[in-house]
Amino acid sequence: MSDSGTPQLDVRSLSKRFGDELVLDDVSFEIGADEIVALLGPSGCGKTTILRCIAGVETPDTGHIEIAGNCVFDEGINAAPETRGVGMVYQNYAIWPHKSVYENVVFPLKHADHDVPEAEYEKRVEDILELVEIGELKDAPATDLSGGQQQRTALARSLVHDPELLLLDEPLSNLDRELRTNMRYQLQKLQHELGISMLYVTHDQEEAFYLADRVLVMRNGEIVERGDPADLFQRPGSSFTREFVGQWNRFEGEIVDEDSDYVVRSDLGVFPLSSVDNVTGDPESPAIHCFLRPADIDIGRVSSTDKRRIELWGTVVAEGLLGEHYEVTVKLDDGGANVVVHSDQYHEFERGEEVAIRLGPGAMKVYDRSK
Amino acid sequence: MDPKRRFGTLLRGFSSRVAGLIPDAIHDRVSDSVVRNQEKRLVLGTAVTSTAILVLIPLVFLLWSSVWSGYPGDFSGALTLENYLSVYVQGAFDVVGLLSNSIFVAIGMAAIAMVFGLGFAWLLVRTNLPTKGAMELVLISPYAVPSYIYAIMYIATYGPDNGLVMTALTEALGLEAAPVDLFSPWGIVFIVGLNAVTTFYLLTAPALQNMDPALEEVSRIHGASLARTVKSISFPLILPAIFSALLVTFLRGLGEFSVVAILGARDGFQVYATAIWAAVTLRAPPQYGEAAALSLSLVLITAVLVWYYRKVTARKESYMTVTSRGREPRTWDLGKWRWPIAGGLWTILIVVWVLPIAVMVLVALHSVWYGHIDPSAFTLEHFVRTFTDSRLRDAFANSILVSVGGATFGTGLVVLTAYFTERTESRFRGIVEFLSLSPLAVPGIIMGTGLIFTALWVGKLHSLVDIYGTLWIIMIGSIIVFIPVSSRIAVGNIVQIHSALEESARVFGASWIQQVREILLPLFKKTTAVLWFYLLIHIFQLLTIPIMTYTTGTEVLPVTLFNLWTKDANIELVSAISTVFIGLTLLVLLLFRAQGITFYRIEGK
Repeated sequence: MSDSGTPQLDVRSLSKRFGDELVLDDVSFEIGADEIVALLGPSGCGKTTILRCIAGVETPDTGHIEIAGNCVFDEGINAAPETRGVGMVYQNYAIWPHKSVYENVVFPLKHADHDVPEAEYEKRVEDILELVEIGELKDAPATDLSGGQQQRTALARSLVHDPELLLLDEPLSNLDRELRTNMRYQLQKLQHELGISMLYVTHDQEEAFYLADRVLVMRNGEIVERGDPADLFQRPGSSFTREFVGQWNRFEGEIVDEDSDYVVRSDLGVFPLSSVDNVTGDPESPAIHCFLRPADIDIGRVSSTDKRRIELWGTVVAEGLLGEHYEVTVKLDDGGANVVVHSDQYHEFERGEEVAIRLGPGAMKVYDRSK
Repeated sequence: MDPKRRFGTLLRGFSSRVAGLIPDAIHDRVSDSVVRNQEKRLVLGTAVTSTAILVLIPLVFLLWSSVWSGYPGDFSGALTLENYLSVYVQGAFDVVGLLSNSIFVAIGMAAIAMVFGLGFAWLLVRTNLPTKGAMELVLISPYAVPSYIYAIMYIATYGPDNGLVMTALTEALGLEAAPVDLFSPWGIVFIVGLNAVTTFYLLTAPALQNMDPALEEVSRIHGASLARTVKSISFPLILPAIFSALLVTFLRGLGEFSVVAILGARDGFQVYATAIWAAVTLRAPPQYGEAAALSLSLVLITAVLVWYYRKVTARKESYMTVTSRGREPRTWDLGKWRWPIAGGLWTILIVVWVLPIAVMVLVALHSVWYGHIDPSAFTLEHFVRTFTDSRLRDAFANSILVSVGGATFGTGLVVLTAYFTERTESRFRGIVEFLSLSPLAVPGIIMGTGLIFTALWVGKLHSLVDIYGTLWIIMIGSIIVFIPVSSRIAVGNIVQIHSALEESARVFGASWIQQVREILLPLFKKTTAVLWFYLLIHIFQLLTIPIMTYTTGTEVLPVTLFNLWTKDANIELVSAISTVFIGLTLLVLLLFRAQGITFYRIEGK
């Protein structure tokens, strides 16, 4: 959070409908100076609409938006996009195909408010192109650019006039994996060098957690959770976030009162409530989701003697190498639930093979299903 | 056809092969493919050769007649340059005057069409202008009105002598004569320009629709106002579309005939087309050789423009690759200007379009029109005559024959030719594509002249091919002039049908003919319907080819209408016929529209 008093961006009670559909439902948040905030959520959750409302190319129904202390939207106020002093990178970059890279990037200097004198435009553009490492493309026509080069051009264009706020709409989603990793690093470096406030919209949790100082998780037009990336990653407060962030096994279950002791009954078996990691589970609303990380489960062909762990038998239905680890999907003999297991070791299981999985109840995270 | 049966046919071919021994199947396939290729060659070959002959032959005979001392069809003549000398050196025609008039008309037409067409296109596609749905409908409806009727409508409304508005204005201001002269060159240019607005709109609106709205948005976010965004982003982006629309309009302007013939007659204002028409049909004896020699200089100019147009449109594709399509059309808020702008546009539409039509209907209801509404002169006699006059009935029957026949033959020809250029590997593809575009360079009047010469020469060979003075020559000529546009429509649609669909049918054992019938035609049905409809309407309205090639007994409706005006100046009857004409066209348009067939494509809501 910013310590300089006024936030760079202040959004209060933003709501917007498209026909009958409520796309933004009372959204409020702030972005401090030099802060990167990521809006994370599945597609269609309204995150791009927020960005567009802030940029002024979409009009919210109600709410209040302030950029660097200036109110740009409220009842009776709707500042034109060109007066809001922001920079924006579109998902498809929106590079003007009829202009060269230089003409694209110099555009905000020619039209927007800034302190750069006209004589220094060219130098300024050259500097910013160097910063995004495409200095040699200055005179290239936009139609010749690759995806990554377009992305860099769009970034340069959105930064060149030193805007109050930078808005990024899934800027890396159209790039291939390697380029994405590289650009993610570049963006972070750039932010440190320029010290600019950013609102970063993405459906990719890796990007959000890597780049952001704070993450807002959105669902159906609402911000369901907000906080520090590390906290959100390790122990989020809602079942939705838990499922959205990281790869987890999810099981349905319920909390049952058994001989005045609460137990969790799920497809994996029955455990005392006190033995699991209970996050939001509450006996008052018994329907729960149990989450288990694939790496917290062991797998083997023979029974173990370790009594502290629960052992379940099942059949291998799929297996293979996935990135850094060996992934096995096991269909449990009891209840028939599928469990995904990640192992650091390479096992040569065959489909149809009987295997045992082992887990400690403490690794199981229990969430209230309705939250 | 029932899809199950269709699939069954495919499967039957496949299973009969699987059932047989494999070597047999291979043998079978080899001999089969020879037969199939023959079928394919025969069908495509006939179509492509016909197209090539149709577009080339009139030009060949035009050229021949220009260097022939005798009349076309007179074998006793000899090669000569006399016609050229007479036209360009001895001054049988005022070539410089004709050329400058033609260019004046073409430039004026393109400029007016651009100002209105482009303005409407941007406002309707990219802003939240109120009532834009209705506005677009009104803007597109002139498509149902051919330019000669446009001219007559304007005479009835704004004509200096009996135009309703002009007489009212003259009296109200106490003037001696009308303040604006419709029959002056400026009046002519204004009307041909207005008549081209719809086409210009239809050529540029899709480009604006396909433009990624993010390109405009990102400009505003980075500091440019709406006006600046339009100037430095929107228009430059659709410049290729604007440019090709300008060229198409300019080409049309160079060959413009009917409006000039109707409005320019009083002051003797002539352009190329009217001069050629007069030389061939009004002079006795007709100046065939000189008309041919005169025509060729205009064809030379238009040919260069068409070549240039090709070059520009070929580059357009690469220009547009970076733009991606926006998910939904987003429009700009005009704010407090919304209603004033809408009001202004409606005023324009009413003055230039709705009012003239209304006045024309009004004139048709007067027994004699003096430039004032006179309830005592109201009558239906002109409408009665429109429906009962045997000459008009014959003309109507001829029009139906020519347009239905022309649409049917033309559609078949154009579809097969487009298939040939897009779906075969033939080395003649490029030439055929070029040929199918080349009639763009030949104005209708000149194409008509070439056709007369062709008929006169070819008719000497055998009475079977003697088409001079028949409806056939009108039909053939009408097909030729619409080949360029209709083959563009066909190619655009064939390209969209994925060739894998066809190939898979052939892998499953369908012959080429079967494959075309089972796969391509069903997928292509809508395009075929659109093409047929396009040709029907346009051939029905066409004046230039019939006016050059008709004889007594083969008049079509546009010819009769034109002659009624130019020879009798019977504005009441002409108005009545025009009203019925427009009504019929609109009816057909609406009927097809109800079936989901339109030949302009406007998305949005």
